[in-house]
Amino acid sequence: MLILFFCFKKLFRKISKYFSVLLVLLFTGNLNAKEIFTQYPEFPERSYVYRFSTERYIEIYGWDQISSGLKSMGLSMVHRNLFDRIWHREEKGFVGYHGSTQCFRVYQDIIRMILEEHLSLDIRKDFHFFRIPGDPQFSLDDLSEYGSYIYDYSPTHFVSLNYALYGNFHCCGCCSYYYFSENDSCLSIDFREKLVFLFEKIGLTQHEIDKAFDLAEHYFFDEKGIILQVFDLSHYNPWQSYYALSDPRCGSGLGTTRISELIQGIESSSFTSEMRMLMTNRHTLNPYASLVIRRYDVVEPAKILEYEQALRECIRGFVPDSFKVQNYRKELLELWGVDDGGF
Amino acid sequence: MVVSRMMRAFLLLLGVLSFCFGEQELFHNPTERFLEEHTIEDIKYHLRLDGVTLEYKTLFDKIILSECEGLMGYHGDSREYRIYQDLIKIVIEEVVGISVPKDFHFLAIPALKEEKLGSLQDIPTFFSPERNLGYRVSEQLFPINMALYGNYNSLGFNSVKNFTLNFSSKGSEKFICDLKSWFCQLGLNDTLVDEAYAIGASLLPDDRGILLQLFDVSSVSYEFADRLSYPAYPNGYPYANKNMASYHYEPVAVFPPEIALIMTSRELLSPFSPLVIKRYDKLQPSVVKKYETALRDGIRIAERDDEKVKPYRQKLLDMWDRSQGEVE
Repeated sequence: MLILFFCFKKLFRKISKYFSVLLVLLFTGNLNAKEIFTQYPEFPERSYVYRFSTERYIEIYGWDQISSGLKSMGLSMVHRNLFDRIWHREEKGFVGYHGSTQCFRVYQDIIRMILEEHLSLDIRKDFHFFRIPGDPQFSLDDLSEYGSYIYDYSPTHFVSLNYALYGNFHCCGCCSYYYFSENDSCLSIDFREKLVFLFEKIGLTQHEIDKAFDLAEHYFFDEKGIILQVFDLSHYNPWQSYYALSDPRCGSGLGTTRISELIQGIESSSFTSEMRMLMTNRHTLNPYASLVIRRYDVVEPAKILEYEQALRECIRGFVPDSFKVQNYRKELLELWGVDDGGF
Repeated sequence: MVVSRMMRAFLLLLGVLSFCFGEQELFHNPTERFLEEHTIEDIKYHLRLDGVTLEYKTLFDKIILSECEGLMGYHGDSREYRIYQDLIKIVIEEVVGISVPKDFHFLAIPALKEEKLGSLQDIPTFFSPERNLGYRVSEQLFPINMALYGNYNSLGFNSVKNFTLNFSSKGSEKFICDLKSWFCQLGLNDTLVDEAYAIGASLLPDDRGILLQLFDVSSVSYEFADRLSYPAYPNGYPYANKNMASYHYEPVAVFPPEIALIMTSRELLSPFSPLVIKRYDKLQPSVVKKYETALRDGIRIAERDDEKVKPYRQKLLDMWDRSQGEVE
């Protein structure tokens, strides 16, 4: 530009001052909008109109039918305000809901705190573990490696999700609202036993599991359960498509139909099936990947704070085998595709 | 001669047209524009979903009125973050011996850790189409909302929520841990950090946090901000390949989810940079004074290791391109 300016100046000496004014205008005022990254690939155009899945679901059945269906299972509608608040939080990237027990919450929190306190890993506040990461059972990458998520289904490998908050309101075995209201889960699970892999992995014993679980459990007698709201924010990478993580790892319940096809619709929908999300160390159990999981309950915030502080203090007091801790940490970072050199 | 006259007339015409119709030159108050697209009722409704009331709306209205050219955006954070900021400022003044302008607050501790991001051009290394290495640089990214109510209805950084709920997305443990590490580097007793937090907890209310309003007062509009910021998704990926100024001067109200500021010790964490920060806390000045005095008194009399302080001070001066005399 400068060369051009000087050539111009030489050729048209008399009018060069006007050209200078123009250049100043161009570079100070009118060209405010400019690219900031050099050598950065163009973003593809991605856009679609989003409609709340739960709203589309309610449109099909009507609130009266849903309400009476839930009441027929003996469920109170006393928490409807909370539930309206939850589904109004659905947005692009929303996947589904999973209802469960407070015991499952304790299980999730113990995994998080062990990783934070003893493996010095940063776990996002908006992520919760559905299973223990690093367990070889979850080494598959996606559904294509698993087989049929319907005929070969194993509850260990999948988390079931409802597309809409009141999904399957007429069937207690497949309804997140039911599990929340009853503080119940589909199968009776011994979470202490499920934690053995994690504790052994770092040289801790059943004694420590019992200590943590005994302390945590008593905070939640007579409480309702939890609702987990799952999002896949793959599109926060501007080169990735919506649902890039969850499409290959979620069975839609409708053969080979991708979940994104169902979720991205705008018409009313009965979402008759339930979704099954494959647990994989690399993706769905990876806090550095794009799943965001919000957890809701109706427990007093002060009680939660007290519980979390007590549990963290208890876990902090454990003395794991430092060699095993280092190995496990390294394994996880490798599985998650995290370059430890950055820490 | 004729050619020369025609050229002159043409250039004059272009100049006049640029001056008259150069819409981009007009700064548009971002929150005002935002509120043309989103009703306050809708904002109230969505914030309620996150348990946030607009009980501080009078303060927010006052803040919005003060928006002017140079405004970068807003950052809401917790009381614990405020104590973190105040401790950094007091230590830099009382221990390191560098005076800090009143309208500047440190967003993080300068020269504490190795910095992986030096400029905008480093962003593509960490956020590429194939691989997200954002966790390696997330500590160096500081999120702000361009409009005060930005992200009121979606996932992502939300200043109003953080201020109203006294919430920090990083968590106070992180601030305390960094401060302790810094104190040790300077030969200060790290229990002073706990004491400072105890003072803060006893004198400052915990029912709200702080709200920062950041301005770039460069002589050329947004020259500083454009060098150190980019529109971002909440995970740090670039939202668009365009500068902050273009959002402020374009008459449309489509803002990015957030703006990520690159915290470099040399520039963004320098009290001599063109960054001006107004901090709102809705506190009585007498309360603030009492708290600040208690904090400053504790640090002023604290024992430090001059052998450790001296090289740190020199490092800062070199980085900030200042001589001894200029900073006292």
